[in-house]
Amino acid sequence: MAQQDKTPDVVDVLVIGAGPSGAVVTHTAAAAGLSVICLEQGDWVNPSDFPANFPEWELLIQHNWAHDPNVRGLPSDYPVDVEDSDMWPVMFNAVGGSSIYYGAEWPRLLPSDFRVKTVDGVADDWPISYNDLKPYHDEVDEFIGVAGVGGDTAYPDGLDYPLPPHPMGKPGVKAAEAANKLGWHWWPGTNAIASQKHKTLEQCGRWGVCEWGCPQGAKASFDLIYMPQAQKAGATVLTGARAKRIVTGADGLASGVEYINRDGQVVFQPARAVVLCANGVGTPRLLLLSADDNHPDGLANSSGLVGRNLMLHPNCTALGYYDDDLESWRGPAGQLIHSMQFYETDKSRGFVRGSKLHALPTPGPLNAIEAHRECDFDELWGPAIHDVARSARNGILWAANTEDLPEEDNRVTLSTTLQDSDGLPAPKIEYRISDNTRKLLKFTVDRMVEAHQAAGAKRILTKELWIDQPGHLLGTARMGDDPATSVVDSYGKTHDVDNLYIADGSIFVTSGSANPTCTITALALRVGKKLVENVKSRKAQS
Amino acid sequence: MSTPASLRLSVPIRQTTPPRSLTEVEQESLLRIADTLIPAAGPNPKASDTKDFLPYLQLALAARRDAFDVVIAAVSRLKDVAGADLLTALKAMWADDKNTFDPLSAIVAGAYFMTPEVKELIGYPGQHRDPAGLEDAVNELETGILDPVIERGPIYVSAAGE
Repeated sequence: MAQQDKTPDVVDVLVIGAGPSGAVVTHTAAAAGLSVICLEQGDWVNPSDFPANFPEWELLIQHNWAHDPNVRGLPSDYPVDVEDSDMWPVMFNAVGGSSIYYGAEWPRLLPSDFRVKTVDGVADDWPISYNDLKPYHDEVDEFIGVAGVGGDTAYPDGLDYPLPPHPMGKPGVKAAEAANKLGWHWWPGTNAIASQKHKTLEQCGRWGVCEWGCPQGAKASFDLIYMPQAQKAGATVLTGARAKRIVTGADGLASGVEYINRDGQVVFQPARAVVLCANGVGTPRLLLLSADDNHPDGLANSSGLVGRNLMLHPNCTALGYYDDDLESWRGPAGQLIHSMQFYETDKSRGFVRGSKLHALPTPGPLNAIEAHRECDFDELWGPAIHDVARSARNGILWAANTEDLPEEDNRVTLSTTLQDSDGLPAPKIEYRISDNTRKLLKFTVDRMVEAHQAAGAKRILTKELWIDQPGHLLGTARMGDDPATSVVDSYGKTHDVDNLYIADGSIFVTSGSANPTCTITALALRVGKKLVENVKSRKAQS
Repeated sequence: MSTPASLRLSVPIRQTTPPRSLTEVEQESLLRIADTLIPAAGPNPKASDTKDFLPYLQLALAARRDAFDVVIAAVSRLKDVAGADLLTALKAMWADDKNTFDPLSAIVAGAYFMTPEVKELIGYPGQHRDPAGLEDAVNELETGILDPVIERGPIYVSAAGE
């Protein structure tokens, strides 16, 4: 690999990864007057690029636009070694990161999530509480224009949203009626999708394809909100820049980052502070890639916990088809409603913690056919196919995240067999689903089947585990007050390197079962604000 | 990364034609497979009778060009299998060779359900812009549907610090 001719000027803050956390940190530092560069191995994606712009969209999402990078294999992707894993972590590598492909479901963690050890006697408590994080949530929600109904009874008082909710539509109303019949908690879906035009986001056009890229530019993917504002505030986003390693100096501080540019040239970018926002797989990978003589086990890894405690939120679903015309091609998707009825521990169920349920529409006839793949041949092919395809507009998908408790053996290391296109070792995933999670998955599927039965579904298809969903990559550089049992402090600063921060899902202590991007961005804002204080203070002293 | 600046790193190139044209024999075999998997039933035409099926089949083959070789190899293998035996052969492929059957069947079904004629028949308008009316969400909530949940009150488990 060629080396650079000249070292660039030192930058105040160097952010690695332009996903949700990277965009929030980049904006926070730039808006505070610091010089900021954000390195991104992918590049920009336009709303007009997404598959739903084209008639063959349901075929495009099977391979070329698949959510699994091992299937998609774009130049921005790196392979993920999943040979020893029960699940296949997925992500999207571009400005906006995996928010390009997320559903923008936007639930906060609950108070008990921060106190799992205290409440249930398992895992660990977080070093911060629900209330510590609340003002950061409120600020992010306001910035990106979260749409929802305030006063959700699953949360303490004081939860409200800046934009009005989306309609639940026929599938959402039907799911809600069933929840009422069963006496369950439910609430109209809270989504980071603009129900009215908001800053750089368009008004939702209910295309129904949120998880395959929003053609409208209404979903809060962080290339469309936060990052444009960061650029306006002076930040630079360098695309096609794959971080190779974090470099440390004799003083023990991070001096900058080596990255590989589009020309294959290795560039050293010096920085006063480095912030890792590369997700729960990419971040530990880079810390391990940064091993040197002074850090033989990887950077910031004196605890030995870098890469450990990987949590993936195993997902399960129950897909129901009805006689009613539900117009289920219509979005958002996005959650139409959510239910926290089974979120907390009930020891009579035989497991601890719980799951978050959400109801979604079921767009596309070919997607309905794919959902029937496990049926007998004659139930799907031949004359049956016409009715299967028709059923797509009459479907409701109940899906759930289950809480994944931290276990040190579930981890990210470096693969000895796979490399990315620049020759860097791929991440290797070692992950096994626990007995607790298996019981939780089964229990949750049974509840979702009940919901369909209560609503009068004519056919129900269940899946107890999606091995290639949901792309919630958490816990691999956990936060804590004790450097012996955590990688970063409660502000994301690594215990070992005073100017190295982590602001992505890696720093979760436990996973909860709420979709995590909401919490990731609130944490990133908290990390970013403290980082600004620290960098300004360090600059004033030097 | 050693990639030209013009290459989109995070966006696949959209292809609208397959890697190569099908031979007449391949096309005939593929249409017979399509008609076996998607026969006429009631108001629904068989695949090859659908208006514009062939251009959409080309588009489908292009969209799954990753599977082109394996699919066309199977199509060639089945070219001389006649009538009822073709259904048996496809059932055997479904049972024994998912890596071939799944993309093959996705391509023919994907093409069929892209055609405007079939979309209309099954009531699928396609994904499109359809913004909500100003009052839609309020009207739903004004039915009182959320009242039972509100009446039950808070359900969260308290923990110090909230």
